[in-house]
Amino acid sequence: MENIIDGLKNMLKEQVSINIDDIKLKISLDFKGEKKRKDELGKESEVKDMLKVIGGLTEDIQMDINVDEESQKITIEFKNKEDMINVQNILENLWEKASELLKKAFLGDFMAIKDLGDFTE
Amino acid sequence: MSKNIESDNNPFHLKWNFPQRKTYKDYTTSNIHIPMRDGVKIAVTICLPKGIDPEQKLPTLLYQTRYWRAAKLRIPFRWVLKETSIFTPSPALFTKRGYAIVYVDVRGCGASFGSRPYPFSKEEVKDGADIVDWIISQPWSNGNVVSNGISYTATTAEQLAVNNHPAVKAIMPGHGLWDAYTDVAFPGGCFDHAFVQLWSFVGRNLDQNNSKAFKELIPYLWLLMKGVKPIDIDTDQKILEEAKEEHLSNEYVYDLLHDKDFRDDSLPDGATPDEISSFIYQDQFEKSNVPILSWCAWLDSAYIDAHINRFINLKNPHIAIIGAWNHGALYPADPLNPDKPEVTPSPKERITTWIDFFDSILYGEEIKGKTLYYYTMGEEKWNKTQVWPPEGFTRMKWYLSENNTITTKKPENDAGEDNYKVSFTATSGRLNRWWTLLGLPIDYSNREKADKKLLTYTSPPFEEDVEITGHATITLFLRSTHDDGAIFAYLEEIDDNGNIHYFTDGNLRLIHRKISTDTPPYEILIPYHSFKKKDASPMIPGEITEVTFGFRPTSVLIRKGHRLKLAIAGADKDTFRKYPTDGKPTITIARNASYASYIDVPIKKKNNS
Repeated sequence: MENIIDGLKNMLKEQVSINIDDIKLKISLDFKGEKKRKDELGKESEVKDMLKVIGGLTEDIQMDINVDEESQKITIEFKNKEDMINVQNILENLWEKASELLKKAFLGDFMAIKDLGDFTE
Repeated sequence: MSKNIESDNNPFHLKWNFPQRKTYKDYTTSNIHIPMRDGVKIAVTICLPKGIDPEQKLPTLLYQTRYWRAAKLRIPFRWVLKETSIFTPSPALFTKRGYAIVYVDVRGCGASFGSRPYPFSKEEVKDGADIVDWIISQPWSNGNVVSNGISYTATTAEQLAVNNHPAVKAIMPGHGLWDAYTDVAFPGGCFDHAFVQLWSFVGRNLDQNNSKAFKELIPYLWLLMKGVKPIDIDTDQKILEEAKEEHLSNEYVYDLLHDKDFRDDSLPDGATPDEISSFIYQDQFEKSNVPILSWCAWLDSAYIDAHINRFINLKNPHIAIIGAWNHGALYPADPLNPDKPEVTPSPKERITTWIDFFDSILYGEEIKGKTLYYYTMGEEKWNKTQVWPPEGFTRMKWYLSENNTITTKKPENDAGEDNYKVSFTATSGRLNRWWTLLGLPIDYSNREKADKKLLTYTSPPFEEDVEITGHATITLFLRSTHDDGAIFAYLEEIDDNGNIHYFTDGNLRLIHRKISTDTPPYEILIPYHSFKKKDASPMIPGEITEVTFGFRPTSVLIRKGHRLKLAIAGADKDTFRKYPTDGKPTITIARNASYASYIDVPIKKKNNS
């Protein structure tokens, strides 16, 4: 398990690219490698959970999340630029943060996850 | 053992004899339901080495669990990790060496249908044979199945052999029970309230696909896992929801046992706690003659009793290993070397040995006879023996004596006794040998503080190094102010600097004190308490009575100049139920010529010259 955690950040970096469209106020997560089914890509609520519980998003941001199996893409659209930059900053550090949290949790650091909040599902 | 070449007594240095075979880089997974004889659908995850030829035939490792056979991971983890990533070590180590793996949710659990009246029910055991039938009918199967597991899955691996299915070629129970009453629920007749309640809580949540329960207990699993992996066609999880409905009929051991006391108390369907045990299948195990590699650790709950009892009772070809680590071997657990930073061997080294064992049986040479490899704490050395207890040890008695001492000289005075008002705040902590059943590390470094609430006796410094290996026993002549109670006895060593190191313990609820003359259900090496209703009797307040019981087996080296310490308690509040329920007894322990209380310890003096 530890070996997997150590490589997690790079695996995410290699397989998921984050693309920003400043004009259309859109962020897309583009998946490479083996094609994933829609339920493997995730639900809208799971994307929000990821941003909040793991990413630390505290504000209730209005965003439209679209999961598209055909293009292997998750697209997040925002109403204003400030919200987009907020989520962009979270996503840019998310792979590292997820890996670090998992490692701390694996080593039994209860404090590291104590205040993370709860997943909705 | 056959022709394996051994460089030393370390079982992880064994040189196994089998031909090298093709290796594989990665593996594929698929998740399906398999119908059982009664129509119940059992969920399995099949891992196959990636790139096998269509005509390639493989042996299969079968792993049957009640803790989710595979996980639906949370995102982002799900995007890059397989559903089997939760397993340590990775299944890739097996598939790399040409094994198929079939992970199974046992009936009533995970994404399987059905319900369970209690763990390891007869139906659950029979499912093993149905699953093996299914495996060997697959185009990729070469007709051979082996099974391994840790803890719960150790028992499912072991009980796979009960079916006497000819395709089952070897089993590997790690940290598995033998007698559910004494090994888990009621060690020494005392109810392990903490573990049984927590384990039932975890089980209930798992069976309802609720990973939230892990947040406080096993945080990384909570962070990583959204739930159990549904079968592949169940993209909207409707099938999983139907399975969960059936799990609502499950029974949980805390509900079944929390108001019970005796080995022969009935469960709702008329069964007894023995139905959950492995020892009841001794005849079937031996008939199968399936080779066994079993492994455990000195400080793993009473599973170390299970381990020894399995070794001495079964005639099957058997390699048994006892190390110094926690339940499941993630953390080191040698109280005489508490600063050891990480567990040895590493999980990867350990699993390599396990695969070597299976390869040897499937492709190399058969295992013959029985060998037990054990690690001596304090000496940090592996030893091996064909018999247990090992040869070359003699019994030595240390008598409880005045001024809180123990001595090899039997008391000669007619008077001599110590009063102990039971402290119900006494505890061995929540990182003790019992809580490790939840996978927690083991830490007994607080014995100096803990012993202040106990009645203690200390020996003079040893004049030479002494190895203690085997089962020590304790005999106390005592009276109590109450008709119920318990004795918890701890054996410790004190080093040159006054540091106290616990190394084993034993306990007994006093109503079970009768030494039974009946034949035990299996061979045991300590005084036999039946824990049955007919043999139970309340203490008569004020009347002296003899209480004898065994310590859990150990192997430890006490160095010259160090001292042996016996600490006696009447409770262990963070683990066991309180006996008696009401009141605070005073226990008086006699230590005089008429009533000489003592411990009886298997020792070997070492040559220090």
